[in-house]
Amino acid sequence: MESLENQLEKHETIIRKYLLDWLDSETARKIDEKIITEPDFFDLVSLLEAEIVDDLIAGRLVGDERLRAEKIYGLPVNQDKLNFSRALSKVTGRNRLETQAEDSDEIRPVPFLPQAGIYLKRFKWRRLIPALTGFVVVVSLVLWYFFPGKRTAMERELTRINRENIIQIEGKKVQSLSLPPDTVRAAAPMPKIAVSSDDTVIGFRLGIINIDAESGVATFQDDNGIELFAVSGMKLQSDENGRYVNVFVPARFLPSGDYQIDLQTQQPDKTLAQASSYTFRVIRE
Amino acid sequence: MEAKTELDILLEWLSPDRDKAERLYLDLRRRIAFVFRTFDDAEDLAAEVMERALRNIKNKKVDFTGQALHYIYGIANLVKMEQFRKKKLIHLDDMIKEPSTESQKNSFPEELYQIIEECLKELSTADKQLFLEYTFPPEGVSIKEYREQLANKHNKTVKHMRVKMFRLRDSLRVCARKKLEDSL
Repeated sequence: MESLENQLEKHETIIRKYLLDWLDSETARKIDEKIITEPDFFDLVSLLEAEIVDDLIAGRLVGDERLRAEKIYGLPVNQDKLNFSRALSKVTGRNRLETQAEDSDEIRPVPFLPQAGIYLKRFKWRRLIPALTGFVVVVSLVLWYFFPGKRTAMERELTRINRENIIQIEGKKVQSLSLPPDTVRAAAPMPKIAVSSDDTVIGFRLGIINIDAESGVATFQDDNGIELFAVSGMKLQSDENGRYVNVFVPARFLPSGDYQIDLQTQQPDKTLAQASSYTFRVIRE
Repeated sequence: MEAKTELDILLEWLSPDRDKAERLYLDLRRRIAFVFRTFDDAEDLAAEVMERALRNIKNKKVDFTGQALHYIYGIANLVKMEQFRKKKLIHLDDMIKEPSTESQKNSFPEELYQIIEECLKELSTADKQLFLEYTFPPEGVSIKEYREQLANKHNKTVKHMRVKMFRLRDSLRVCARKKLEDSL
């Protein structure tokens, strides 16, 4: 004997059509036969019919379903079903309201605040939880935006600088440093740049060999391997000396010391692949 | 010893246990009336089906080797086909006649409200609370989502909730029908 839950899953759609007289005569006949010969099957039909009638009374049926249900359950033979559903709806609705009113009375009043206590007694404190959660989230986002962490603030400025045309970096002195890719500079001394003021912008030209990509991400690390910041979305360019990427960094982001840049390029499948590494030294004049 | 009536024979065919057979018979009448539910005179047609079955038993036209329910279905199908031919069916797509206005007059038994209140009190507190919660979602909430949440809250699937609610509703229906009959 199959459970009603399993039967519901298997037969709900077709029985609903049967109940709304939406089946061809042969299929309807087969369901008639099951109703008469299988009492358990009739339980399922009764369940779905009850739901249809209750939905009809509650105004939850729409369109053709509503029209068909109104016509079928408006017939005299089905009057009792409609009456029962209507009465049940009214009685349970009344009982539900009483139950909800009783729930609110269970909240204890705040002492020493008679008038407010009456209001507070009836106030559903649990409704405050979503509002409070939302308030905390909004405040956190605002604080994060206006008071960002150090790295976030640096990367925000780097994004702005590196997306604007170099000509638009007005009033800033640009000092250039060309860094060849790993394989080329193997035996060469570490490239150095002498920075005269914090107002300077350092323009790194990072050489790349044999990379077929459109854009890259450059991650700057100090000589302890700690990541300081990353610059993303730089376009790969080409000239007579080969492929390269330009990265502009405010000098104040790089105090005196040794640094490493890891360049990754974005592949067609949107993943990042290691392209090259570079080291350099910053000297303050 | 009294001779068996056709009804006795039919009941025996349904079940050798007389009490069970009588329950099966009443349930069978209800199911037969159900398959005629789109007919004006569904109850009369269900009675016609049973009368034909009893007449055939009396006239020894019944082969009792098969199951009683399948035999009864055969008669019900025959009666239904005859009704289609007589066009007594009210078609939904092209109404032959409107439902009688007399049936739309107040045939609502006012005592049903009180009776259902009494039947609701006979449910356990937990069942009553669950039934009320299930039947009346809060305002502005999708009933489908609300019932899914209610099912999760009670560690049940939605299907289990639907079956449970049907059983509670049916117990209220049976209770109400009995009290209504007793009051007449």
